Amino acid sequence: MNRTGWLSPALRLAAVAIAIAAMIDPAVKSDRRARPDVAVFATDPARDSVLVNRVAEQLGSDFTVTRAPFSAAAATVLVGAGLPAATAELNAPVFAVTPDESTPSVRIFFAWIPQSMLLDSRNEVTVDVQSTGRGNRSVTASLRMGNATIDQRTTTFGRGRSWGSTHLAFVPISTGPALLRAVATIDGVALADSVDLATTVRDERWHVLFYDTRPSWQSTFVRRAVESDLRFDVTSRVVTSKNISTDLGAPPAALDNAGSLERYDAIVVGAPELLADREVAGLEGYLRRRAGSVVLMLDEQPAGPFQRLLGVTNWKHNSDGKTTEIASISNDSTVLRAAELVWPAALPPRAVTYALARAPRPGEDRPPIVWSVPVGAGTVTVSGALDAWRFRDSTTSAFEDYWRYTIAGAAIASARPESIELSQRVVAPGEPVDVTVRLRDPGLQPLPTRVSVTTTIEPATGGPGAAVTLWPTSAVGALHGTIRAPDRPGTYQAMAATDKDRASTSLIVLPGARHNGLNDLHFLADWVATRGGRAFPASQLSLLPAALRSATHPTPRRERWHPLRSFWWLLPFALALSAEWWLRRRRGLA
Amino acid sequence: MPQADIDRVREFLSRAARRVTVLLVLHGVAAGLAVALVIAAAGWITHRHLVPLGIDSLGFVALGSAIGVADGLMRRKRVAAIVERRAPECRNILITAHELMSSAPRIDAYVTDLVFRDAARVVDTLRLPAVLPMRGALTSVTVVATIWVFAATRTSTTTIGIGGAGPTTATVAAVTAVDAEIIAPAYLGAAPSTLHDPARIAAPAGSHVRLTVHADASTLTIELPAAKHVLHESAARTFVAEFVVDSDGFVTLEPALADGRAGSRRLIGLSATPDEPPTVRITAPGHDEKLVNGHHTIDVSVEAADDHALGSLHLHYVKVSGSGERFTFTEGDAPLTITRTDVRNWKGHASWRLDSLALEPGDMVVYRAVATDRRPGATPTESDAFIAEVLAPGGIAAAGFAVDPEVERYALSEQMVILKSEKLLARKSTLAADAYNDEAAALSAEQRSVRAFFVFMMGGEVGGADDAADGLDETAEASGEGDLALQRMLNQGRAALLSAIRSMSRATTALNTADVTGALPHERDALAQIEKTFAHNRIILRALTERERIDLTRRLSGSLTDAARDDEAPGQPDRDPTLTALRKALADVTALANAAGGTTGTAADATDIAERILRVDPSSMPLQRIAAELDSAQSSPLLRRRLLDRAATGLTQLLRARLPMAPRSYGP
Repeated sequence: MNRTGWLSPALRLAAVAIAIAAMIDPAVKSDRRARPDVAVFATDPARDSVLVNRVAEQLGSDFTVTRAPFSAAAATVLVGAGLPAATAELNAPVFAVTPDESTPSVRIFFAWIPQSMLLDSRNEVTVDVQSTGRGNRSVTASLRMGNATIDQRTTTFGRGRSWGSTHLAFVPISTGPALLRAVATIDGVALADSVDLATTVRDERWHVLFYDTRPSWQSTFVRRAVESDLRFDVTSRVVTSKNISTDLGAPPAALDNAGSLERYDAIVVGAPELLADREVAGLEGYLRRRAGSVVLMLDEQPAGPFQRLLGVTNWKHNSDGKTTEIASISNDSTVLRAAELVWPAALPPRAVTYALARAPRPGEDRPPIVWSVPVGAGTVTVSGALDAWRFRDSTTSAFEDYWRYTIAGAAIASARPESIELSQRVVAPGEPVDVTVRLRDPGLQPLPTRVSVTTTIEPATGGPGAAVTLWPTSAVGALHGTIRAPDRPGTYQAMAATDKDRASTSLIVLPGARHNGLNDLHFLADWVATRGGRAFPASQLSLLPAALRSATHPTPRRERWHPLRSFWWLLPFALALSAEWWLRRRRGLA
Repeated sequence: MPQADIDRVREFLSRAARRVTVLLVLHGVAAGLAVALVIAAAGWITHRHLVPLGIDSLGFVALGSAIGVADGLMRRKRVAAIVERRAPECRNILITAHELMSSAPRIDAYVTDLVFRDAARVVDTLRLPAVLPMRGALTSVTVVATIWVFAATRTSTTTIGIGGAGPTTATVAAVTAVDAEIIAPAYLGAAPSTLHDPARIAAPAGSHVRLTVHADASTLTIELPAAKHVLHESAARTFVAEFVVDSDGFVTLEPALADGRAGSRRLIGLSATPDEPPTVRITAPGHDEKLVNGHHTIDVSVEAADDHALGSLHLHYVKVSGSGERFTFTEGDAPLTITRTDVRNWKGHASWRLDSLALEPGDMVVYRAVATDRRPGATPTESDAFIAEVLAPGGIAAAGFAVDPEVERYALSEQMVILKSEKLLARKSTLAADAYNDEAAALSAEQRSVRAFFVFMMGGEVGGADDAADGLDETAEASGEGDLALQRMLNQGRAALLSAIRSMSRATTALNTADVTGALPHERDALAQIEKTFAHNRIILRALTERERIDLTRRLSGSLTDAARDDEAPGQPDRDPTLTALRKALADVTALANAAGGTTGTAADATDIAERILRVDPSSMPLQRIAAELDSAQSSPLLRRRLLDRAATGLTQLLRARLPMAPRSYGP
């Protein structure tokens, strides 16, 4: 035996030892740095599944990737352009991988429809769309009722990331719940995004009281405009002389009793300068206790006790006889014309201006002619276009439409005794829904007040319902609870009932329901930044692992592990056997 | 290397590749025909009629052939493997040879020689028809083509056999074609026009329409705006209806089989274009004229236009002459030279010599242009009327002054005439005789003007006034003007006015002879009578008829003691029926679109909705468009979804315009 004669048995022994150890598979406990668990998922799996695969592949070598949100993850990676509905379950830090802007895409980042609407009105559905792409592209936003497209608008978007807001029309065709779908598409590209919307159509009327302390042309013509509108139930009293009045319906004898005004959603007062102290007190009670809306139709220089409702005593007046256009502040379109104007020298705090007149002189501010100021929980709106009624020609003025719209707005703003709101009105089966019930009186009446409210969710077609447990919130009169949507698709009614009144709204359970996901890239970037993460466009995906490593900080932990389960043991095993064979062959033994 | 062996193998593989391609093309043709048959069968199941097998089938065949060729090209590289699979006895020698030919690997020559020699030997033993038989493919094509020919023959028999003799054998009644011959009213002189399968017939009002309907049906019900008729075949599968288009509307065609089963209805809109009256105007002189005497020539230019064709153009005049209390009116036409630019636009010119009218001072002629179109019985259209007045003495001076004669005419009053007369008398000593006479003549003209004003207030008729100078024949007056004799007092007022006119006539006569002193008493008498006329409640004009009387109950007046609280019951405005109809139509359209995805079935419903929409307002262009889209949705299954969407969108737009905007939140 030469000097290396011992080597061959040693190598053979090593190989046998490795084989025996592998069969035994011993377990060892020690401190180790584990691969961090990372949750990767798409907010819109149908759209972004390919990108999710790319992200998982990119992270697979350094992290244990789980393709779903879970609470024990060391970090979360959102894939897509929006936030999921439930963000509370996402573990921080949260990173985002967003689609490239050069890739054509269209997303609805916000779609809105009123929770309820009246049958005899047209309503706007707002669809805010975000689109990306290399060049100019036409994006069509449409509103569908089932398979039928009932309205659509096409907008041209510029290159890169663009936003646009489209207002579509929804005309109710029947009462009850209505399920709609807002869809955005890029012309010529098979891309679309959609959001399911629901509203409840009611055949109801707003109760409006017109109270003229003397015959007033201004109030009279506004009343005529409102009377011809099916949405209003008008009651009026025109005091023509002492103890003589002309009544329509059964108006209260005077405004001094706030209780008698409670049934009205809005009160329009003509010639308010003749209101007595007690009537002003009655209106104030209506505003503060009922959270009602009052519209003051001035047709003379303001004077009298009603001014204390507004907090205005100094007024400016323009009666040069020239006709002045009064434009809505929302779109600067001419809504009224008047030759005699009055406006406050200084708007009271928290006042909101709705219509402005042309500036009296160049360089001066445009005077506020129609404006409002909150009084308690209610709102007082003031019209300072004293003789706007003289300019009712529909070709130059929108007198009737404007006042219908304004008084409808005042009626909407007037608080209901109770209301029920859902965080989503179209949900997938089992999806969480926040329920909020607001009771008006406990918040406005002197404490203590005792109200019991029962809230249920029940099928619209009838059948047993389920009670909803509500909890008080920090706001007086507001109750909140969370439910899981019913498993069975269909239309449900969420109802809240007190001893005096009841409120309801529709909940539609739709498999695969799509709702607003806050699909705004800027918002997403800001949101993940607040969660210790960062948003990466898909083109910079290679930077994500390093960012995740620095954010997760994996710490050593004592754990049981099996050293022989490593693939690398095959290498010494094979080397030992090969070397031993080579040595024997060299010695002529093999 | 044995080149001959290589060539034999290469030639064999090339033939095999071509044969594979042919086989694949045959399979593609068979598959294309099969797809066409499946679609036709689906149409039979869903629509109960065969979808015509024609150009669509050829498209499927072409597509199948193209796929076959493409597949053959792709399999060309694997042709050796295909042959080997069909002929296992080759034992991979063909594959090896094919690879050697296509890739030329570095292999010793003896190996390639051996491979190609063996391959050539093998291919000599192979027969391509046996290895790649076409029998199956040809059988498939033959079978499928036979079925296709049968089906195509059936469908063409059903849908194209309009001209065929004998009763219909169709199982579903259907309108297959419509021809509309429009014969415009004869006076328009338009040639008849023909429309084939029109969605809308637009024709001049009064047009005669002959509708020839080809239908697989035994009867055809045609519903016109004013009537409904059941038609029977006038020829084989041909129905003829004739009607006159005199208003907007629509025609509904509903075929029915002998057993009463009705087929899909077809709507044809009707637009009756009304024959607008002509327009005519006098462009020159275009204003009233004061003439010194009646020997003038007036150049009159007239323009007239019509939407179809003008029939006539005249210059019509009324000569007003007379003096004292008597006016006479003479009517006639002035010669007019007409230049016809085209049948729609004419111009006329006249150098009108007034000599022929023998106008005297104070006379006037009122003229206007009158045009007619060719519509029988049409009311003539008149232009604005202009006046040419021959001034009486004094009239010239009035025209020469700065004061507008029109203003002066209406400013004059009997009191002013008296004042001017008194001033003229006062200045008589300072004036020359001629000047005095001229001023008296001018005053006479003014007196005449005032008189004429009152004469025209009386309606232009003062006959009998002189005969009844001291009293009015109330019986005759009441019988002449029933609405005048409301009260006796009124006629007394009228009598006073007549007396005033008479006094003014006498004053005029005196002033014409420069007898201002003699005229003055008559003028004062006239003034007194006028004052008497307007005294108390006397009304000199025509008494108000019952319809014209003032309703005192509607005036803001009354007794204070009657004042009290006025209570009115609240009322709700009625819902606009048009709004309700449009809303119902939108609901139906969305329901139709949602039924089976809007692509199948319930096509007749679309026609029903279209019909109801047209009934809302047959003249509305948007509604006509929506109805046409709905009707087209019936005949265009592939476009139905899009057409229903367009109809729904159009209805939404119409409703949107009729409904008030709801505020989304408070904030006008």
